Amino acid sequence: MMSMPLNFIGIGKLAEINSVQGGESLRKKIMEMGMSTGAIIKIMKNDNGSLIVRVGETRLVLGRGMAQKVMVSEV
Amino acid sequence: MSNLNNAGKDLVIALAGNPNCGKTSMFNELTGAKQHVGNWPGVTVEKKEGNLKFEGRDLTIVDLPGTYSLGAYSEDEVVACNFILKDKPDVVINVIDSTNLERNLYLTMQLLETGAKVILALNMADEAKKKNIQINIKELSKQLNLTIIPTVAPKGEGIKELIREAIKLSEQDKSSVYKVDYGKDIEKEIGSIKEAMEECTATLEYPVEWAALRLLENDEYVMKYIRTQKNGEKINDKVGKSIERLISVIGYEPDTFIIDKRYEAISDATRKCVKKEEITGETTSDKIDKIVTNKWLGIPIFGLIMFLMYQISISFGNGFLGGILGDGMDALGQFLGSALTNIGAPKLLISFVTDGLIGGVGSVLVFMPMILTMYFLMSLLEDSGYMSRAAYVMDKLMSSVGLHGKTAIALILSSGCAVSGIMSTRTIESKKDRMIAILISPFMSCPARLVVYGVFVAAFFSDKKIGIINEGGLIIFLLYVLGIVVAILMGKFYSDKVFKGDTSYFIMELPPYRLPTAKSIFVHMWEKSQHFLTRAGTIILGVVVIVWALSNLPYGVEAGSQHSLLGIVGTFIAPVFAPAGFGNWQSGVALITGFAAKEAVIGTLGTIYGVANGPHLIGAIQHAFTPLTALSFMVMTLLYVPCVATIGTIKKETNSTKWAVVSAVVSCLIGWVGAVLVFQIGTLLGFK
Repeated sequence: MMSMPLNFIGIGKLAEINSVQGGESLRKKIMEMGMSTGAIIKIMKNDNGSLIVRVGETRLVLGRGMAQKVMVSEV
Repeated sequence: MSNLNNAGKDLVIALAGNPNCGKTSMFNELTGAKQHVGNWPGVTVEKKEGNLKFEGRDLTIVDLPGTYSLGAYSEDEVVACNFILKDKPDVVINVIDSTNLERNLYLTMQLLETGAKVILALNMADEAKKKNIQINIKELSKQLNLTIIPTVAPKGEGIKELIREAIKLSEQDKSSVYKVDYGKDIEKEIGSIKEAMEECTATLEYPVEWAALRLLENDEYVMKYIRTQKNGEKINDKVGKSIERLISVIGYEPDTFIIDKRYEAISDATRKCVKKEEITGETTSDKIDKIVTNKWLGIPIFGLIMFLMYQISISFGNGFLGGILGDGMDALGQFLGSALTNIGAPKLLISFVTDGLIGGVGSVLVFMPMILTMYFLMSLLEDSGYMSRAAYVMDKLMSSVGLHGKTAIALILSSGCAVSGIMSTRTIESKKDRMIAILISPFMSCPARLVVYGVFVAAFFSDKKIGIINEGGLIIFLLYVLGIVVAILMGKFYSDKVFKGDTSYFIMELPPYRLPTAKSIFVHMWEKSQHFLTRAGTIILGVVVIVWALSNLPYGVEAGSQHSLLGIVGTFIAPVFAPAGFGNWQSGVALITGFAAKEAVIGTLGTIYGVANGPHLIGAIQHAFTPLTALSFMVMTLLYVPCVATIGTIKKETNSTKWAVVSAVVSCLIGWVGAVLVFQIGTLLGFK
């Protein structure tokens, strides 16, 4: 499946993380918070503002800019 | 560390774990009241240390900041990492949230890599059971080669066993044997970097193997450190080449690869040991979130919760409890007054005790119940997990004015006390956003300011109604709104013109909703209030004494008159406020004492007009002010420096006197401009 930024996945869908782009420290930080390559995330909220996603047991709020840098493919 | 079998020997035990894993309640369980909160030297991170006497041993417990990893992304992580590697605690207790095992084990992997002696506390064991998460502790313990004890910290379950095992571990000679397998490519590069570091190994403050791995991960802190060592530049060059080689072999950056490898290791270890129900449905937290973070309901719900918080604090805390306390203080004042008169005490002493102490300090203490109530409710909101949802809900609003979502939390907390709001900015990663949040927080109305509004509104606005809304209540509400508007405008200003730079990305964890125990809320509430009590108490007491002294000197002068030292100072300053409509010396003096604490404004006016807070003070104010000047006075109170405690906190949190001074000066200017505008425009419009 094609890789696209997390932003474009709709509410309620599941996606697998392919890669995390972007600036060093922030990228590593989100990876270490659970959004690592291969992880399956569920999009809980994706309105105009930040996204809320679920990775395993963790619920994370992601700013749009940051979500843009997470490349995923829908599952 | 050597393992002398000395029963009285002190042990140092560090607590490490993710934020929200219950580490704090474990720390509280272990140390009770015997804890000491300070600062790690050189940084603004809190250091929490406590004491525990257990089965003959004297244990020092250090609560490290909650971190997701031991990287170099924030001061918290650097502090935690350095404590483990340099201070070398005897044992590290890694507190784990059992309901989120995989994520929590990431930190564990990094702890093991430091070579420390680690023992796991599988905390929140009760919640895991409720969620039907079954963890085979024996198997997991075998997989990771670690001792694991299930605990429920708030109930004290498992704690004794945990400490016993920790003490046992400290006496064993083994360090952790578990190692993540990074694959032969990485291992090869680690080997060659270790060779390059041979010359400085002797003086290296960190284990070589650990440092080599961190260098491959582009850890900025370690890189900077290596540069200060012998051959530093050469080593960093070699690392650069290693990274290039790895990129060509693996296909992407080694730091990402290393993170992935850690997660692989975790997954291998837990695969056989953890049984969870597949969560296809929604958890309760999700259901609540659906409503609370809803596009349309989110902000109104937030507004409602905030409104309720204020209503309860003011009517229950201030009205009910505060009223009782107030009557008590009056009675005490009268009792002391007559008691002293009866024993023939000098008039000055009587005045000092009744007007100065009881009148001045008493009129401030009366607001303690309201502040405690507000802190109780805030702690409830924070501990239950709602606060992070509030930040999410406010994020869109905040970003539309160029501010960070977490700034909303700082502003909310600042409406309880600017000090706690400013301290909460520690969770904001980007320096720019953090500075802005710190600088605009003081514009929020806080309970101390409410004290001033209360008196002035009672003097001029309490009887009138606009429709069904009480005019006084409306004005106080508008003042709150004005504070928020100014904060946001200043935020935009700072964001566009002063602190140019990127806004930080917004990433925040939403912990599952939890019903906090009464004990934890009270501890939390007490922590916040303690600060207010000691700081505000001593400063207000000091100010009241000084004001009282200045208003009674030179000796023999009519108390609180224009000829007293106080009056002379006030007369000197008065003209500054003439354009704002309250150019009398009393206001000037009151505003100056307001620097120490806003409540002092009322206390000072009380001392000057020779009356205690109450109907007489209101009468005095009705003579000295007009409705319009009362309004402009309140605007000044809203906008200028909240109190010395705030300035002190700004200095501490920004590590710079310059910004503390800037904040003070800017807010005074804005306050003056605001008050003048209100008065001048009001006069033009024909108000009085």
